[in-house]
Amino acid sequence: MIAKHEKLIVDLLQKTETGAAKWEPTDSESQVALKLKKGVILLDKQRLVGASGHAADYRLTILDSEGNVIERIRPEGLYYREKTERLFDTAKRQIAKIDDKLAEIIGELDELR
Amino acid sequence: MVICSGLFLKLWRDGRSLLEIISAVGSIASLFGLIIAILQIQSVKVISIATQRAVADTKAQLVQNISISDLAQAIKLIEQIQEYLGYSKFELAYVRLQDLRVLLIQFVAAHSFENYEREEYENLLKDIGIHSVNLYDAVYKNKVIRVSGINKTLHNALEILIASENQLKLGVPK
Repeated sequence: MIAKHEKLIVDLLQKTETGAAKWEPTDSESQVALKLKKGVILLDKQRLVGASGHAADYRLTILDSEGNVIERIRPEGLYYREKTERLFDTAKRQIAKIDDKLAEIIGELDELR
Repeated sequence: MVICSGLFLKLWRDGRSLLEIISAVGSIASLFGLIIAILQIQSVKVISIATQRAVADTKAQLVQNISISDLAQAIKLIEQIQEYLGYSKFELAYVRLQDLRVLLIQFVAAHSFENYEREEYENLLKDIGIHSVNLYDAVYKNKVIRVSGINKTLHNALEILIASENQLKLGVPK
């Protein structure tokens, strides 16, 4: 994996965790999209079924502003695979507004006597 | 010519020397020549501006006619894609979606839009790009996709295109 891809994954995770990057759902349940002015970043989770059981594989697809695919990235190495997995989970949580809902529930619990 | 001749005769009768007469008549002739040249330049300039305007009008009319035809074709493509999706013919829907994307790219490149209109088209192109990726994967990698998501984008595309068509045909603002 080239340095630019590594930086992209690290930056995406950081911006997603701070809430600066707003992910959106797409027509695929196993995919999230980040629409930017200059293009789109798609993040796919693929289930791999092997002899030893199930595993998840992640793939990033970069589109330009006209919707052309300009790059496909498959994270390599445990460090970047884990970061991408965390990115996907965080994006999904953000789309489903899980943290907001949890905060509301915890707030309600705090008000109980 | 008449003025110069008149001046020549007047000066001749006044008893001026031939050199003086030639000098005076030459000056008058030069002055008139200069005025005529200026008038001609202005006339050529007016014709040139009128020609440029006519060329620009014809070009705009041509672009408008091509655009209306492009939009009608894009609307037809959307209807075809919706039909293919309805019958789960994803391969054909993918091909037509790519055609639609190329047509829209050309349309956007050939036009000047208000900022919000350009943004609408740019978002549409991105959405179509996402659907193209997923339709391709659905055809060749058995990816599960939600057709309703694509239909939503197509419905939105229809609204944008019809508004643009009306704007081009009737000059109706969006």
